[in-house]
Amino acid sequence: MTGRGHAALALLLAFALLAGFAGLLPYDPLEVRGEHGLEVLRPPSERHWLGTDDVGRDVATRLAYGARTSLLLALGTLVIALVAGTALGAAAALSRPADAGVTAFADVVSAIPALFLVVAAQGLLGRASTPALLALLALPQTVVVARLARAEIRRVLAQPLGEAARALGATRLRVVVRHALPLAVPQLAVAAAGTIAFVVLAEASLTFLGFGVPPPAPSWGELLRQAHQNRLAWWLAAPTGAAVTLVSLAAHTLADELGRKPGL
Amino acid sequence: MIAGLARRSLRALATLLAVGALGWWCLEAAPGEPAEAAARAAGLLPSDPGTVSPAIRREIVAETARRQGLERGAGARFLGFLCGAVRGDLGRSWRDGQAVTAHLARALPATLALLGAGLVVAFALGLLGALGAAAAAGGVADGLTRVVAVLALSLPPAWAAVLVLRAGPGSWPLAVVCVAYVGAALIARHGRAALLEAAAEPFATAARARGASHARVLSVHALGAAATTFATLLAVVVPYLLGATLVAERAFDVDGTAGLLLDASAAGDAPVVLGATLTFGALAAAASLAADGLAAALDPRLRSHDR
Amino acid sequence: MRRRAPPLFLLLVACARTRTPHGEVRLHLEAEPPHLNPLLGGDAVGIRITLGDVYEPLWRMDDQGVPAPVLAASFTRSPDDREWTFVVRDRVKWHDGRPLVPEDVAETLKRLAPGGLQVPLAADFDDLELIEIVEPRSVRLRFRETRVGRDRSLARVPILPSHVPLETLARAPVGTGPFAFEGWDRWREIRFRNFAGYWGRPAHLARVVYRIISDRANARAQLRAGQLDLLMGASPAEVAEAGDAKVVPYEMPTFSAVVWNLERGKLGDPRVRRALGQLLDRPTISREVFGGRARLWTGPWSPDDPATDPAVPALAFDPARAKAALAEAGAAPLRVTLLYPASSRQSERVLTIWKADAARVGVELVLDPQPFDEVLRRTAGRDFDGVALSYPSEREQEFYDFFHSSRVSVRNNGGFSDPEVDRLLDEIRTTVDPSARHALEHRLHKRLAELQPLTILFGDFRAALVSPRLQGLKVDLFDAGARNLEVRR
Repeated sequence: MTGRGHAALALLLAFALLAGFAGLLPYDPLEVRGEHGLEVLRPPSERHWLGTDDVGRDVATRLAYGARTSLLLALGTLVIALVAGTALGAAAALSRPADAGVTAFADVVSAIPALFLVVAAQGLLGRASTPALLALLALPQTVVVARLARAEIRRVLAQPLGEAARALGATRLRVVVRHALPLAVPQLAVAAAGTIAFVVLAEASLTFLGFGVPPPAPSWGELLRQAHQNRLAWWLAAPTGAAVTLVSLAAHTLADELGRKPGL
Repeated sequence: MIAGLARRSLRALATLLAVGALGWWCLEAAPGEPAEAAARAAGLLPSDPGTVSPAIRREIVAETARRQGLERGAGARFLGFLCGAVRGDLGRSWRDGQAVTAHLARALPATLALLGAGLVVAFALGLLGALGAAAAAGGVADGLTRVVAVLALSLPPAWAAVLVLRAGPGSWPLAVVCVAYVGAALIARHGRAALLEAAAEPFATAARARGASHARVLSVHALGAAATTFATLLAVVVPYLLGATLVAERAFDVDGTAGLLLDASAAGDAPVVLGATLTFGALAAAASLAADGLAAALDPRLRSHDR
Repeated sequence: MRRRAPPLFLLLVACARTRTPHGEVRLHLEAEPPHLNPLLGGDAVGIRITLGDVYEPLWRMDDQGVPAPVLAASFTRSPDDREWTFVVRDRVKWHDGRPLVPEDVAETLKRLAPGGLQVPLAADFDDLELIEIVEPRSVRLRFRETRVGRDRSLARVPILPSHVPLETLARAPVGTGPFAFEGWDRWREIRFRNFAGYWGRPAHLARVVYRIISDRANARAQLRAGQLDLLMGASPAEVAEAGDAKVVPYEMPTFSAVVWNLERGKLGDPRVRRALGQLLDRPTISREVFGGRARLWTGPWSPDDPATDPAVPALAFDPARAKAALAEAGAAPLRVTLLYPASSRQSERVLTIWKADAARVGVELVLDPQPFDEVLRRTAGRDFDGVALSYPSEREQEFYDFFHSSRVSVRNNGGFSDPEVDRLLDEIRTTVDPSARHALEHRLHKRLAELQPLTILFGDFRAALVSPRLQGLKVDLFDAGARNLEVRR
């Protein structure tokens, strides 16, 4: 992997550290009072390095905890997508009826662009809690992984390697697990990196529109929403926008690097 | 080719119907009483119930349920919905009783205008970027374009809108830019790769041997060969543009279908939510079909023959 | 003859020219009104845009508090104020062309009399005994009691056509006023056009368009760009960013409050309600969130109102005492859900700060934002713990509807019932002598402050932002006054 890839990985790691150690920051993300009482919409100062938001909470703290929200959502989506997606893809590759079912499911889910799916689901079923939001975000990503896994596994099964293993007495499932999946790992890694970028950007847009993480949970989208309503408070927009951009930039770059064919 | 497209169109339609069915099922599972919402939407129950006593209120709700067939079994209602959907009747809004199709007809032009202009801008900028990067392949300009493109892909539309709106009140051209920039970045990236690939083909080498400049080789020969790639990019780019219109319509106060979906979802107006969602699904499907058709038209080798 | 005609003709043409209504204004509406029938009440938006411009009352109160005739050409009242007789104006047309007849007035008042609709306006007419039409064009009313402010009550009643059903009027108003309903694009705009057959002085404008814009940032941007002429309900922060828009402060005070549902768990105990009020840090919030412009009210009247007893202390921010009171009332730990309109970011900010302060003493305030429609529905259906809304407060406003135990099914949504409050409310409405009435109002204020059926949040500072081209605006929460507006050419 090139230097660019390493840099991207380092950035993502920094983001994870920020999220992990958010608790070390002096302020509580839900606390509206500092030691000097209630201070609403203050620009950056010594006391509050990134100023305060429109109910007096410290922006730097909200930013760090927002990183935690985004990270947890991204990881959760990643895990669900990889596990469920690979399982579905394998099932589809192994059995004809399962293939029909999975393909139909995938078609239905990918018929509607992801953000619309999340908004519409909430329009029909009511506002989502954070776990429900996770499930909604994981749905389109699961389909992506499932399609990938299915294609990869079918390819391997049809190759001489796969046939040879079968000839030696391995079940098709064993072939899948021991041979196909490891070969699929690079592609799955690319999908994983792409998922991180997707979730971070999606959370920002959805919470900005009011259909993401429910208040008063700290999130990057929520800060952007406040920024839209208080245009003069640049300290709400700039750090948050930069954070989202940097994290998705790192994830996109990582995806690119992982997807590079050697020699190019 | 036509048969292939027709088949795929039917498949897309069936998928959309399936989505509609799923959505309808969610509607059934949703909290709240459809009959009361319908009665309120029809103006029979003013929001201030000081006007009617609870007993009369119950009677009005029951009467509405009878009249709108809401007391039939779920199965019968679902069939009714399906038949209606095929005929083009998507039900009535729970908020104001107007036909969902009327709401959509009103809101769609603004969204289509935004999307259309966004596509034009995205392809224009994207092509320029791709050509410039391919021409300077390996050089500074190439690297710069790559950086700008990946930055644009990572820039959240919400921040882009806030930045743009700091300058002044939202104007439509700025909304178009906010919708298009992600698409432009994608086209620049993929286009560059396609152009370079085409430029390495034997026919391009031959053209250069005949004396054509590098630029000409790229902008004429390679572009022509890569045209199908650009056509298929349509299918990739449109969903991104659609997602961006969600933020742009809200931030720039455009009266379009995305705004309609957001308002309806906030109010829990399920029929409109369903209708608007299906509309976006249809737009994505149309883009995909158009991309396939365009690619097949450009490259006879891609025309499917009953596979 | 022929030589004199041209100048006269030109003079007539000139007069006609200046009289021709011209211009169109776009005014801001924050929310979609549930209906456009001001008689039904229940929401200020629908009332404000129709009450004076589309519908008309019998008379209007002028600045001196004297009735100025509108649809009643003249009226007489008995010395004890129990009998009222008015002559219905002749040659007045409804917007659909039918003539105004005394039956229309009689039918409208019959709807408010006992046995009619249960609407907030009906509170003033619950002692109406007799309505009769006296030939040729008079209507006589007889009330059972002598009450104060009867003329003001009648000035608030819009006269509806008896030949159009209420259901239709909810969607398409038909009135006698200078503006006729033209169209309603749900969730976008409501349009009125100048009514050519108006009996009185026509309005200046040719058309008035109310644009429904729920996102205030967009509304402000449109005002700055000249696409909107009026923005209502501007907060101090918005006034600061007004640019070259004119700032017109509201003349009628409003206040925001949380109405408690006394039938929900521990909320029936006044100690619990007081404790909750003591967890709200009003002075600091007023300073920080409202830039110091939100006044601290101790009751439902402004501090300048004669009904307010200045001796009643404000509920101080005292978390320690609140915690102790809750423990004493056996209400710790406490969990209360606060319902409020999702579109009101201002409410959300105040409630979020309240929530954080309450959490520190173990009280969990759950915030429940809902669409405004839904908030009204649940309030009326008594499906809430506490609901945060804004209310107008006219001078010495009689909050009979809010606090009297007999109005529980109408506006007293919290189910509040106190015999002393009932007695005071009944006495106040029949006490004519001002100083005696003020004394009673002071006692009412004190009692309400003790029992806290609602927790007053703030007196609002509100203004309207007006584009420079709009003239003639007078901000009235119940009357948009579009008939007085004109645009500078």
